[in-house]
Amino acid sequence: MVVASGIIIVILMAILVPAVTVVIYLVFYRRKINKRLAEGNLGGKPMMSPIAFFTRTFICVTAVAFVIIVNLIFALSPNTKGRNDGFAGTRTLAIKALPDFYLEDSPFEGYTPGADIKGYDKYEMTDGLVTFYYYKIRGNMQGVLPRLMICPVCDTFDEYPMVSFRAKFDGGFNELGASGSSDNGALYAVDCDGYEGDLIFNVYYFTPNQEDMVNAPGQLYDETFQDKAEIFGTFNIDLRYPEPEE
Amino acid sequence: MKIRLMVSEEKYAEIYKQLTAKGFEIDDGADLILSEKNVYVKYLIGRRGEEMFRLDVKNVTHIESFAHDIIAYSGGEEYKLSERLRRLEEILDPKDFIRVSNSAIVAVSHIKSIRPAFTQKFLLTMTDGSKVDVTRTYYYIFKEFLGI
Repeated sequence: MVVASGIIIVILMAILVPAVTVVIYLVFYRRKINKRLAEGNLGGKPMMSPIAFFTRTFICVTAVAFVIIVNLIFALSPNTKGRNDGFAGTRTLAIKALPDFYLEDSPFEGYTPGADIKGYDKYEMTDGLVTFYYYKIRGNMQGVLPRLMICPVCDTFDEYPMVSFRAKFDGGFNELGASGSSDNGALYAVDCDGYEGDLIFNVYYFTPNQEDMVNAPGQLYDETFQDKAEIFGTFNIDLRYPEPEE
Repeated sequence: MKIRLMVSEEKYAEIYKQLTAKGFEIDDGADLILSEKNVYVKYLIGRRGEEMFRLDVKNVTHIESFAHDIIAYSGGEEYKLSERLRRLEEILDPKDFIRVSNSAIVAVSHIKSIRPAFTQKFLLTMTDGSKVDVTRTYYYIFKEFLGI
């Protein structure tokens, strides 16, 4: 979009600049030749005709505009920003909370927090009172099952807490956010084949009496979420693919 | 036989004498012209109504052709000439007159102002206020001639 707008602006400038300059030149040319005529100073070196002036200006401006457009395309196109370290173009990025009823008749059926999942390698990380169990898919299941599964757990609540999450994919020059809510100990499937960048996954626990406030539309933004949450934890993971071994 | 003589002043008397001796009648309004190379006319014979006028070329601002008529403009008046534009181009001093289109010759000294157009044309305003176009064909000839 930015590239297209830039190109349109440059093309418009390439038309406008010669048009404006030729109008100015016409006024100047007219004054000059009439001055020569009035002074009888004829027979000197002929001046450039307006059409020749326009043609030369147009060629020069077009050449400059072409260089600018080419540079704009290279500078602003997502595919040319560094290496393949961002989600350039359209790439499917999905993060989804999976309550128990979602897991029925799936490879994750019967999952309990901290349990192993077939086809995945299990890891564990703790941030404050929140424990994150996360599962990275093994090579043979790549592209078949979600690439990453996360299960945040917080056991300090006597009552059933409300859980919200904010996720941020941050790779290359783009950023994509996702949000939602689920139950304590629920699985989150992160499906982002081909994505190479960081994932920041925040989980917030609210007591039941905060629920109305949280659910009110537009009441809580990212900044206030963290302040209002009873407990919150952050999970960072690098989702860049390892370099292939020689 | 009537003949128009267009020669330099130095030779005029001698040629005049010889031609009249041979029976030729010298007449500025004659269609037959005897001319000397590189000698340009100082007067044109123009007709206005039934009258004939001797026009000093210094006072002629421009000459235009309309269909079969050739009109010279001098002192704010129009005079009908008998010469074709092509012939006038030859007999008028090229230092003073220039062809600016297929239908017009202008006197350089009578150009009051020049308005250039983007489309390789000039619009000339003559000292008598009339407007004459320099067409695309004569654009560069005119530019070179005036050095503008």
